[in-house]
Amino acid sequence: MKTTPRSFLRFALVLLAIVILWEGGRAVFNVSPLVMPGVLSVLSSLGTALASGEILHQLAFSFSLIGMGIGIGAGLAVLALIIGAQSRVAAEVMGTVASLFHPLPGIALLPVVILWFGVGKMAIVVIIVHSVFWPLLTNLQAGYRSVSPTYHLVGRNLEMSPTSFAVRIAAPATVPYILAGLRIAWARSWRALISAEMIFGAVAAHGGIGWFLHTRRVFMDTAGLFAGILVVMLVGSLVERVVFGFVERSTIDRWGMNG
Amino acid sequence: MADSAEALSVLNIVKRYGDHLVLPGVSLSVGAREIVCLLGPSGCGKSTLAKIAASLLEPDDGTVRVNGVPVTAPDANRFMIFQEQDQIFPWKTALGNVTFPLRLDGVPDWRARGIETLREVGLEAAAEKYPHQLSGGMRQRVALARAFAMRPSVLIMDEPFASVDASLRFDLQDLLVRLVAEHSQAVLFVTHEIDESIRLAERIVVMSDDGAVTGEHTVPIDRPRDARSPVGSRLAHALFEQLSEHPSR
Amino acid sequence: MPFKIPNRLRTGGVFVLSLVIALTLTDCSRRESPNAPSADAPLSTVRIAEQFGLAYAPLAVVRSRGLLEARLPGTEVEWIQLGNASAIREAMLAGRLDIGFMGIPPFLIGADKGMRWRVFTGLSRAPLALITTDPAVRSLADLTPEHRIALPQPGSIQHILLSMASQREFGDPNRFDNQLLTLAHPDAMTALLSGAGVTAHFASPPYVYEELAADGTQSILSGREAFGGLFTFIVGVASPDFGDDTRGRAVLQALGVSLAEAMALIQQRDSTVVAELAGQYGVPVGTLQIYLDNPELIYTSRIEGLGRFLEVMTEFGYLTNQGLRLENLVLSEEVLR
Ligand SMILES: Nc1ncnc2c1ncn2[C@@H]1O[C@H](COP(=O)(O)OP(=O)(O)OP(=O)(O)O)[C@@H](O)[C@H]1O
Ligand SMILES: [Mg+2]
Repeated sequence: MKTTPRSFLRFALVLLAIVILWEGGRAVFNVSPLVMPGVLSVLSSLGTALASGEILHQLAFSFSLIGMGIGIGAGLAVLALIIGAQSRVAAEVMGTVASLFHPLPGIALLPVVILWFGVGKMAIVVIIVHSVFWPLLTNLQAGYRSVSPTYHLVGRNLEMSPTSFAVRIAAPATVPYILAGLRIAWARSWRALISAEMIFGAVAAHGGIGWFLHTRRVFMDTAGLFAGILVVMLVGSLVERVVFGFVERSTIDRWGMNG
Repeated sequence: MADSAEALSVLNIVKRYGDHLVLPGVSLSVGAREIVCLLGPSGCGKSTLAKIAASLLEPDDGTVRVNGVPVTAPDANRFMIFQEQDQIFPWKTALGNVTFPLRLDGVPDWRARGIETLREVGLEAAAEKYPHQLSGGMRQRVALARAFAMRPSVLIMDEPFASVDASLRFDLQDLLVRLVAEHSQAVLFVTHEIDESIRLAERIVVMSDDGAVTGEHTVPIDRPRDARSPVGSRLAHALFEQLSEHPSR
Repeated sequence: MPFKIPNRLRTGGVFVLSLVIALTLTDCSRRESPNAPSADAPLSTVRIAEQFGLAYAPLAVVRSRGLLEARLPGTEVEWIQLGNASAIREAMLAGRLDIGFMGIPPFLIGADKGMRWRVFTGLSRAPLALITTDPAVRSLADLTPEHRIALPQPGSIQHILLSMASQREFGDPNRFDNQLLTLAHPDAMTALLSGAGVTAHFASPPYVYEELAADGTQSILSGREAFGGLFTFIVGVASPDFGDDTRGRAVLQALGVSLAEAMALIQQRDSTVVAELAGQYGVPVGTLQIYLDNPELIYTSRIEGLGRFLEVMTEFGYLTNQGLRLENLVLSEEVLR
């Protein structure tokens, strides 16, 4: 979606409506600020956390974990795709395994992850890898199957090696699927990350944005809690719209491959 | 009938799809600097034969030879233009598509050659456009340019001018004739247009509904040709008669 | 032609609707709540939240024996298991809970933020201990920044005890704050014993027993050392509405008597009660006996250490409300009688 003045206006109007309804609801129902803090106190809380650098610090940490998780997950998914491409049995086994694991929320694996990988950074990365790997693999496989038979003929006619074909033809032809997979992977890993951080706590002075939320909760800093939730929402949709929006505009939109 | 020492020859090709015998043992050959048109009704097996000639499809029986040497693997020097509409890559510009094989091949002046070939097919203005911004006919010309730019010694073209208008088609036919003369290429050209085959071909091979070769005609007209000349008209009539026979029905 | 709502309106409508639903669900208008005690209407339900652990044993007995129900004919008692003090606090804020049991520090944090809830009874004192599997760690001083300390959550009694100990030893209550791991006791025990990256766990019973019984573990700090004396581990807390109202107070009093009865049953090692508890905590009866025999595990309604917690948590900056007075935090027994 493009950021036009119109869409910006709509966004601003929605925000305004939320603020009005929020404050109106507070006034009408006489809600305690411990349940619903005022918009101003949320904003001032957000301001403090931003100014002190705490939120940015925690976000940076969260992003480093997600980056690592997506990197490893994507690498493994490509590897699995290659293995699946070599043998039909392997592909079928993988398909079955994926259909079992794909719907499993990463956080449900937590107890096992603690047992196998301990607690801390590694455990969170493992959970992110899980959140990334299955949707990516499923999409990569679907994308690989969807590569036009004509491309295969062109590739053979040009005497391309399997690697060259994979890199120069199959990969770009699969970009819509890769992006769809990455979108799911991002959404899932962002959620899994926040949940895991809320459970695990600080790892060497960093706990990520989830930990930020958790500490606000346990110390009953409701305004800070909402400030954190605001950040989680904004970052989520920023990545969704700005990052994925940019990548899509410069690839599949430009190529007319967006269905 | 098929000379096995020619630039491209297919000998006694048999191809089945399940129980359906598509090619019952077909032979034909194309010499250097020669355009051979394969003329036949829809569904008779032209594309199947063309892919076999490009070694992109394995025949159940028979051999394909290039310069008399039996081949089974495809090569970039025996370049095929497909009937399928999705043979050019949507993620590459027109120029990117045309230069793709050149760069794979390590042709040093790939860029200049790509632009030159695009100009020849009348697409220089569209060089930086992506396929989805082009019309069907323009896309077909990109595929054509991609093949021409490679200057292969054998060109196998499966109805390459199907979606361009009549006058552009004339220009492209002339271009093909010129390039074949320039680069001594051998061209197997699949079409179901009688006039097109008369304008282009040194020889016309007619296939019937059942996949068998029912006739072969040398075109005794000097170039530049006029398919409407008396000789051309007679030939067209004969071809029409031949195509209208339905031995299997 | 069917009536069509324009897309824009529909989105707006859905949004307004969901906000209204959200507001209703939070049940902020508690004064209209049907369960709010009032002079004439009979109290239909009382909602009590407990947590899991040996320190809650008397409550478990009251529940399984129906001791409170027997004293409150016509009132339905709803028992709710919650995972941590934050959840109890939030449920009470939402008006979905009348009574909750938790450690003193989470109670104080709520009071500090303006919740007018009050402690109406103590429940237990318990042996808490910071237990490690690392033979090189023999005291707090041996814990390096790389070591991980698992505890239920920041602001929990375990966290405040750790802060008190590190304030005393190193003059810095926050010394270990950057190496905390928030894990529920069972996960923390698994992580500690499997060597999965947890150096030490601040455990409560029964985990403290199980961990100390395992090979190669040692306690480097007891709750008592950390606090510098005896303190109540779990207290019972009543919602503001409940503590203010005579009918609510009657329930609290009945609960107090029921708890006393349960404590006596446990004290006498009543065989059915012990068997029941053994089943609940998933240990053999003999093991539970040993657990109960620990002299530091004491079930009593006495409230100890509230003032000291108030003092140190204010000193450490966890409490900022200067107006907190001990007498406003407790519903005295006289009031309840
Ligand atoms: N992959 C396939 N599997 C089964 N049958 C096939 C396959 N490809 C082609 N055929 C059949 O083989 C026959 C010849 O097909 P082919 O594509 O070679 O015809 P064609 O002469 O190129 O027709 P057109 O002029 O319409 O392109 C048809 O009957 C077709 O249905
Ligand atoms: Mg065809």
